[in-house]
Amino acid sequence: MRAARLALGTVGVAGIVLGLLLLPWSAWPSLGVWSVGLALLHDGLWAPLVVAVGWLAARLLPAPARTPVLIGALVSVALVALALPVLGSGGRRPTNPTVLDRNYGLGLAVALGVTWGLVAAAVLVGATRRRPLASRGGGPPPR
Amino acid sequence: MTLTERISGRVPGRPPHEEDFPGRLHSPRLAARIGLWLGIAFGVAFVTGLLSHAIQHPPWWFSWPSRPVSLYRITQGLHVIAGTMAVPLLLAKLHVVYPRLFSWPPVRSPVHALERLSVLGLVASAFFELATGLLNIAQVYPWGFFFPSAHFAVAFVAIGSILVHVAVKLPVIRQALGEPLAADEPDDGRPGRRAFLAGTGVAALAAFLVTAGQTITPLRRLAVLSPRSGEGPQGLPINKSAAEAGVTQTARDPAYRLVLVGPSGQRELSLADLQELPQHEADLPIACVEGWSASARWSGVRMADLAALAGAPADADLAVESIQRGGLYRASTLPAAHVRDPLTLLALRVNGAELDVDHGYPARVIAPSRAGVLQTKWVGRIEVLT
Repeated sequence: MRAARLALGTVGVAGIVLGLLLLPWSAWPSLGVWSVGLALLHDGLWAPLVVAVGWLAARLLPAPARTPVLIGALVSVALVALALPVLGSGGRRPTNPTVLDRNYGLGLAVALGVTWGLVAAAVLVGATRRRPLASRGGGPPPR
Repeated sequence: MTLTERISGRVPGRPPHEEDFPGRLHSPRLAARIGLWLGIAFGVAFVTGLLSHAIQHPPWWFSWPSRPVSLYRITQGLHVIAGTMAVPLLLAKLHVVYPRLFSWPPVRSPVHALERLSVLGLVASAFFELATGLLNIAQVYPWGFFFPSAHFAVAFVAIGSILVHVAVKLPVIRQALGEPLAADEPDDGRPGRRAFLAGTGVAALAAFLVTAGQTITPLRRLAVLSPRSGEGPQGLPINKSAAEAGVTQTARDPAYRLVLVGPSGQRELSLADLQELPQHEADLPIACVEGWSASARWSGVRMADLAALAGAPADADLAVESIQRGGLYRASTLPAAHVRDPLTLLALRVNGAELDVDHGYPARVIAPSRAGVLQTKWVGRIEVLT
């Protein structure tokens, strides 16, 4: 394992050095914003927000809803993140109508609607299946 | 106790430490599994990205086959799909390991400082690759660098940082992957690691479903967030329109001539001359570096016939130039393997009609397994390279 770690580390450092040599450094402010800037935005703003929302959800949501809501939230974050670049008008231009040629607002709404519809269905199914178990004195069903 | 009191009772009067995050999600067992998926996604994107780079800027030792005809469609489609699916994987991975940011003391030794710095490099370069890639396929460029150079360079930083990270964490990863995911979790009905891992997988699948249709035609109707619907003039999307290339007038000029230069001299062919040469059909995809692709039935003159007309030897590459005055992609080099392929055409028609001016009227290159930016449109000159 020692040899493998050494080999991985060496190749990795070589890759990093090569990448840094290839970087168009003259644009360093912009490079910084879109790399370290995004990392700081995540660590300083997004991640604490997620921790706070998760903490609240764990206390406010009834137990049968927690797992479906967690999965729905993970899917929703992915959908919204992927919608950000296409929702703006930045890439749209009259000279090429085949770029960004969908109704992305509607698309996102439908995708989120389907996601939370499935979450609601899972909560209901979970709740109806849980009741007979609870009456037998059993714990939560196996996931 | 009110909610506010409960929260304030939880908040210590100092910066948070790693131990303040008691959640069972913050476990190497979960991190290693999501990390494995994320590593695969970045690995696929890295390899397919290098291939695409080599196809566009081939070093002397590199050659790319013309068959199977959809090879580039697949590799570049995979590139964008892997990057897209990596978005939920990266966010989930960072959520799981977020408490590590607050490990205390922040720095234990120079080596530890270096390791923490390398993690910052990893996160920063990973964000850079995913954000710039996604904005590029939406053709949004809110930055001051040339996207292909920066995306290419940072790819090496990202993949190198991943390798360093794996090297540092290898003992932890091996142990974590060897242990059952949820064995040490209390069974209190709260969502645990299995739920989080399943949710992460479902989110990656959702990312696939809402975008992959621009590459995988049967999924088109589901691809509600893909930058391309797959539609366009004559059923094909466009990357650069005639108006953007500044050829709307010149492409339609009846005085258009294709200049063909080779060992047998120089000749000029009008559109009528090209139409009189033997016409052939080929079902080929147009596959963009941005990941979208669409199939069409093209017809026109075999490139091999034109090369023969110019007196080209069998192993000669062709230099193809557009009538457009400028632009990064006004010229391309068609390698001999593609010139010889009977499916490679100087196309005059697509899907049963004369080419739309946005698709390269009067004549464009269409070759199997090739990046869309190299399928030069509005071809004005073909020269045999010897």
